[in-house]
Amino acid sequence: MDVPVPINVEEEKNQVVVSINPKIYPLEVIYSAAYVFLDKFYTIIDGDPETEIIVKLKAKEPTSREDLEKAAFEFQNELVNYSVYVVQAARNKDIRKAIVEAALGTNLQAEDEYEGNDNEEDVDFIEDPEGIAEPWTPEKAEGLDLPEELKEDIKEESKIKESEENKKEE
Amino acid sequence: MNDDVVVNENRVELTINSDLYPEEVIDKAIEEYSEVCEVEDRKNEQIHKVILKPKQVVDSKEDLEIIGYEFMNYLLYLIKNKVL
Repeated sequence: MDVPVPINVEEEKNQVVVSINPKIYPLEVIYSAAYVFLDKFYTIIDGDPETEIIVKLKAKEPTSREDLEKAAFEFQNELVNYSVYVVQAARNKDIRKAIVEAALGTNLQAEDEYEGNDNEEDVDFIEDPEGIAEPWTPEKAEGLDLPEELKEDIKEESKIKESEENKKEE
Repeated sequence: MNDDVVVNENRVELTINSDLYPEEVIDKAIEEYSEVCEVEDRKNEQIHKVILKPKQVVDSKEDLEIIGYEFMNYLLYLIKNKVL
């Protein structure tokens, strides 16, 4: 079987021509690989999408034969690179879809809960049997084992209150 | 393989296969280049012959050739970025 030469360096034209079998590398993969070379090469895609696709890479700057050849091999590597990407993307399609759906589903559920809390009458307040949420008063401290300094402060505070109340009564 | 980019006097002629470059991409690129070039598009089956004649005078054959090659690169840019 004759195997066609996939790389043909045309040094006088400062370009390299790469032949690709479209049955091995689909057009999408060829576009992606060629796109990588846009900044250093002028890229032309030609040929027949059924039998043989020809990619012409013409260097923007004068380039040696070796570098043109190297560019062609790098192009072949990019073809493999994007083929792997396409295969992996196809394999992970269902997982990716499930993750996105789960993320969107959680978001929708959170939105529903948020909308449900708009009506304040529906809100259940948290029970507080220990009275933790109520403000602290010196009377509540009675009977508790408090430091001596705090007990004195409370006594003074209650004395001041009593004297104020007496004055008011007078 | 025919030459895809040919400079002829003060214009550059491009041969584009619409089996490889989508029609809408070619149309979009022609629309964009119409601002700086007089553009003629002759279509024969799947082959487009696009002729670009810069509105500003371009004397150098190399510069005309670069305009043609940049058009081809722009087609690929449009395909990849889907800015249609």
